[in-house]
Amino acid sequence: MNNLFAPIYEFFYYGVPFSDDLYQNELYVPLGLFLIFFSLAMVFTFYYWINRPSFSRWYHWGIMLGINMIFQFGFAVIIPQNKFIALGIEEYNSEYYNFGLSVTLMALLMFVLFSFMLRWWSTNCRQTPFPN
Amino acid sequence: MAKLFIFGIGGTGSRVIKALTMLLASGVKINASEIIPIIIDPDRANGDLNRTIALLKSYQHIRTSLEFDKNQFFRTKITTLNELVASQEKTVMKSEDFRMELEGVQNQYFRDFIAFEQMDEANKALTSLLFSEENLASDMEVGFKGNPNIGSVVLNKFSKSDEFKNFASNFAENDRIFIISSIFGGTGAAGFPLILKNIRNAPDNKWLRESKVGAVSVLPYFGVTPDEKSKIDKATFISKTKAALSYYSRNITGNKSVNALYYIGDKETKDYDNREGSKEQMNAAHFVELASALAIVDFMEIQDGALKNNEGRAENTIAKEFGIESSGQDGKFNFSHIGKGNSAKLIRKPLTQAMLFHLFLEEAIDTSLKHPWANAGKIIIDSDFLTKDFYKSVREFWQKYNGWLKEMSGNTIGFSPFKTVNKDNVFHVVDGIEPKEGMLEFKKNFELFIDRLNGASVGDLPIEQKFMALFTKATEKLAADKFGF
Repeated sequence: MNNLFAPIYEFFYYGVPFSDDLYQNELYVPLGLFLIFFSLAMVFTFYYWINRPSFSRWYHWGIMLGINMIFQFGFAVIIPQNKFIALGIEEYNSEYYNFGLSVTLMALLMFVLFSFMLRWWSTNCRQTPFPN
Repeated sequence: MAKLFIFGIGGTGSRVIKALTMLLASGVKINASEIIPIIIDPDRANGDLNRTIALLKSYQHIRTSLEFDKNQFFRTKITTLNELVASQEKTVMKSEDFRMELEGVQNQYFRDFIAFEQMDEANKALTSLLFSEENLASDMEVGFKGNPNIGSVVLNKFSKSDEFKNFASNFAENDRIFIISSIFGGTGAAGFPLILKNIRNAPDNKWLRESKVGAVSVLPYFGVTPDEKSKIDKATFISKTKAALSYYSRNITGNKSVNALYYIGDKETKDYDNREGSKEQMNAAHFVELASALAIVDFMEIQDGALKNNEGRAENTIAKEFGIESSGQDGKFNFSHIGKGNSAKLIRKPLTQAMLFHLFLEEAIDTSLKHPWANAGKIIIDSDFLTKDFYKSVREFWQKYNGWLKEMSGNTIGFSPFKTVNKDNVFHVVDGIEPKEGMLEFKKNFELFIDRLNGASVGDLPIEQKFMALFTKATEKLAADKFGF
């Protein structure tokens, strides 16, 4: 699974040796799973759990997207940082944040992708963020 | 299903037809393929008559754009006798709209109508015994002002009119007839036995003679304020009723000329302004009229076998009366007070659906057009639709519906099934019923309404049909979810 996620993450951000350390420590697996499942959960929450006419405008969708991006950024910074500190790898600083920003971009794309896949069956938000 | 011809006689006839129109608009089902209301009222300017005709026309106008696979509102076809005749390429009649023209009453006094001056002395003396000087000086064009003795003479010309002939020639074997009249006035009390007699004695028309005829005879349910100048005196209502009932017992039920007769009335607890007729006679709606309209629905549910005739006489005359379980509090009652019988079940759901429809159009539609119910699919309901004649007609009709309900609520006794609500307590609209709230139901009021509209899938229909079908589905679900109807 690490091999599956690594090329995708490295397409968006590749820094030596930061990305190699992520790969070596198989951190792309929890990051990738979190990226998929948290984005999916946020999309489901918006389209099927909240699913309210009063929370169905494009900016409400934007709020959910923003929350997803913030969580993904935090997770992408904290998980590698904790792991590398635990392993005594302490030479990284800006790498965490650059990687976090790339994951945030991926979270945006993932949220949009899931939105387009799943919105059609929502009672109140099937036209959000883009009308048919 | 067969056609139903409804004769509405006088002011009460008009008001009962109005109540029936409201019921049918809301979606109350009646077992008839189409309804042909024929209003008999010489008082062409009568306020009640004209309000009813305007309402019927509006109903027809809205209905022309609709089909009824997915829409319950305005489902039953209402036709004028003129349209029925024209559709069969017969002669178009003189009658306008839903009103049957009575020949010889325009600009005439009763004295002239019976050619009093041309009578010999003996006949003049006999006529003077039967009709007072006041009767003879009556203007025919404002009805019979509580004088059935005048009505019985004038309305006897009914069977010779082109309208009656056309009605008779369009009457098919299984069609039914219903006659609405009040027993305590002039036009209705006189007209009912005469129409019945003409139906049972129709020459060369076996179907008509053997037709299944129902009738509602409305007993006194209101009074009029005393007025020395008026010819209408409420003190005579009961004595007239007794006399008419005595006559009916021999000539209506007694000789079995009617198949089903419904009796309804109420205490005369409210006095209306004493108007002899014309545009000033515009009585507030009353529950008795709604209950009388329900008699028509009930009549159409009776199986053919129970309404058999033999040589123009009913084998068994069915007599029914209407009662409510309780008169509620402070003279107001609601659905729950009607009782557990069929009447409340028949009306509470469609009337509530129509009320919810009305509330949404008045309070929420403008801001809800951005939601999928309106702007998803190939057919878009946008602000332009709200300027179209169809939408304006529907909105105006529900405004009249609301006005009718308010009139009934304000009357004595007052049928008040709905409360005044605002956008924060929409589902408290049904009086006496606390709306159900789901544990995880966060959507409330018009947001829940929009949710139900968004969830109502009706496919790509023409815009008017889509609009009505969406509200049929959404209000049906809301009535079930919130009120258990």
